Amino acid sequence: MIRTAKAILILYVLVGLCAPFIANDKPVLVIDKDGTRSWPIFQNGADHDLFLDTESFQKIIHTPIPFSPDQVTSLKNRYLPPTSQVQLGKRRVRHWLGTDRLSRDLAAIMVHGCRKSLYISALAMMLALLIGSILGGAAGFLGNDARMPWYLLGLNLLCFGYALYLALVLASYGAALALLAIGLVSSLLLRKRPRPGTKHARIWLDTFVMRMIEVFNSIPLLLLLVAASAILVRPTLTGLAVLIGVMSWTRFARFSRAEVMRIKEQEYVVAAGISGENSRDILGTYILPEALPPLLVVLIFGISSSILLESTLSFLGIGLPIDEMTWGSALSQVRGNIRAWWLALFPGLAIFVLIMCLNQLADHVQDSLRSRQ
Amino acid sequence: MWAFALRRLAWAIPTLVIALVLTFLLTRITPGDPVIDRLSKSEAESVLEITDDLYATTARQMGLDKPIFYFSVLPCNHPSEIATAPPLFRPLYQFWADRSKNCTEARGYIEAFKQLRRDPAQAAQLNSILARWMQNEYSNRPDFGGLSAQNKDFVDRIYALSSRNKSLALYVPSFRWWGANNQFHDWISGALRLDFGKSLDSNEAASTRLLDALRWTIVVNLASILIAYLLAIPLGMYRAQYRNTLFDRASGMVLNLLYAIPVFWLGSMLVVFFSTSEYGAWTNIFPSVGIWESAPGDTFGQMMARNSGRLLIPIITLSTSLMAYISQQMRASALEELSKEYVLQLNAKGLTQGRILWRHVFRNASFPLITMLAGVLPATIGGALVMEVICNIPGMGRLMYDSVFSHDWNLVMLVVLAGSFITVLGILLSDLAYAWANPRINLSER
Repeated sequence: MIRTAKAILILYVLVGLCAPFIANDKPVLVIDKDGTRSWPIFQNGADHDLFLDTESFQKIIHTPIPFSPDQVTSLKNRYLPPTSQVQLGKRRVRHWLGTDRLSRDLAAIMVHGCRKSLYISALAMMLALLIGSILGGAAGFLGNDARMPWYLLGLNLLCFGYALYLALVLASYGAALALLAIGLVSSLLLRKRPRPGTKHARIWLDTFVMRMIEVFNSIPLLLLLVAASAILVRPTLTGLAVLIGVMSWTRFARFSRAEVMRIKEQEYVVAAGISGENSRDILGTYILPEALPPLLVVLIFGISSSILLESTLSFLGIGLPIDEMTWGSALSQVRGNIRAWWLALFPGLAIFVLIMCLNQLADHVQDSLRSRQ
Repeated sequence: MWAFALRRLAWAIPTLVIALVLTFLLTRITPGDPVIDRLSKSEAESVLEITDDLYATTARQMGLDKPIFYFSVLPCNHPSEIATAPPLFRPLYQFWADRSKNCTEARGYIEAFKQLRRDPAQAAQLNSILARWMQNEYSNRPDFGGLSAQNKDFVDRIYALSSRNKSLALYVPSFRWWGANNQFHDWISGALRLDFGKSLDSNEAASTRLLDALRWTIVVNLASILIAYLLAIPLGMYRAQYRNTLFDRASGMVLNLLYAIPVFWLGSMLVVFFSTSEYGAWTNIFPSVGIWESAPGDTFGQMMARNSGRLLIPIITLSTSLMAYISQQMRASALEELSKEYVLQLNAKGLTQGRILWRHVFRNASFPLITMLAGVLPATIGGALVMEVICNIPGMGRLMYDSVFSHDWNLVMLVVLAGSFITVLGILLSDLAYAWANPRINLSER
């Protein structure tokens, strides 16, 4: 069972990685009458219309699915059922999974949809993992007793505030990120040798993080995403991924906080503290190696739920550009034509199988972690 | 317990306020403009032909001429007018201000622009150029023939400006305080008096629209949660009792499948295959979801009776995935209880299996189910949104969906408020129910 699930997951990842080489309207290899070879698939400008006339070439090798996901062939090819053949120039090609309302090939849409789904969910979960595990882990480790020199707190708040200004008012996100990084790094460097007599501020980190989690959890995620994605002036895949990531960090934060707190109370960790090891060593030798592996389970569940979220959003037609076809947006077209069952069946099946395999994998990882302990 | 509930509710207030501020700011920086929407509906003019006076009066009527929030942080070369400028011209003003050295210079351009637009003849000339500017096309300047002297002077100034780089003054933020005279203050002080404003779209009170919609969402959600729990509890308990039998494994596999089915897929499939006679007469099980029947003057009960068949698909869909999740949890927590020593002792005492299972194990195993209710509630609201869109149910999710697209911000705010409130309430209720079911829990410590 788990083997099948792993194999299917690898297949999905491969399809996602190789999408342009599986479904593309440009041929992979073209051999001219005089024997010269060209590789149109790597050329940006190459137009698929050039290769319709098969007789003027010696050989044309196409990708397995000779369509691009945004390729509109002809108005009479709309809503073609699976395996129907169409005439493209002098070539007859099959739409193995049928076409949608604009005569785009469903198989091509699904192959590229896989790439988009995986990209969005991977990016979103990386972001969520980063934010969540750092905030949650710090809250669990430092509790409400974190101390920081006043000037460093001031520096960090200043950096954070100005980064917000850069991002929200001037929309220069790179500069904002750079500034945040500068703030973090400089405070890590400066805190090594605090001068004696420096005033320290007490930071209620645990309370703060818990309140943040509460705020984020009590906002109905889908409702907020509906509201938020309507404001993305130019919606992009990355934008949606960032939005999902920023909204779903709480699951990682809650988990890693609980985990770190549990480990921190273990006798051997307490003993290490009493025997005089400094807190960085305790974190590195005892807590992190123990707290990180279980996060994998949360990560896998997170990926499956963000795939679900992304496809739900694109099913509703929110968050992504209209011409960006994904599994969800392909599926939603069935509402316009109830007879086009293939539009409902295949994309949904793709999502369903992926989510099921991810759930299986997460269960498996969880079991193997538990048996290891 | 009541003290705990009250304290929890008090904590919920800042949470709700933050959620509301966030949503409010989100809605106000959206590209859409409700004022233009309304004007183009009633006056049916091209957007650029709406005079500034007409725009200003309508915006004032709708309360949208004020600054958005109590304060704003702008670059120091952006004059304050930008914060209250019509959304249509805001990008234009921002583009000019970005390249100005200071507020005075930027204000000069804006004032000159307003001056020119006040004269209809001049404004008409300017409109063709404006369309280009709004697309951010300043680069190659076409030959605008026949401009009046004033217009030509202004256009020359703008083109000279556009070739400049952005001013470094952008990087100096400056803080503008607006006081209580702002849109958010208006909204929140109304909301405290339970006046949530009018729907910008239909001019009905927003709360009436919400309450109308909420009834359907509550009916659908309650029914599916109830069905899900009623099916899931016995299933989970008996699977734990007969663990590792064929029945347990087979149902476990089916439940895993059901759990992974996306709600919108199951819903769409039911609609596609089982609500038409397209694929054979026997598949036409459910009424078609397309049209929502209603007669004028219907009460909610009559509407309900008329359309109850249409609620079947959403209820079946929502309860299926919920049921799968709950029964897996039920089984896990019952298994944990069954392995405890008191069960062995009850067995030794000679109690029947059914009595042990339902009298003793169930009560202890049901704690996680109660806390789960808190997560279930928001999740079903999310699921209901999708199902309401698929099945055309005029519920809360559908309302939100429609009002976001028609820039009906008062409704959006109210729906988010209601959604957050229900979520907070769900968490609180589950905490209280947990304490009620398990008296060992001391709430005052949490």
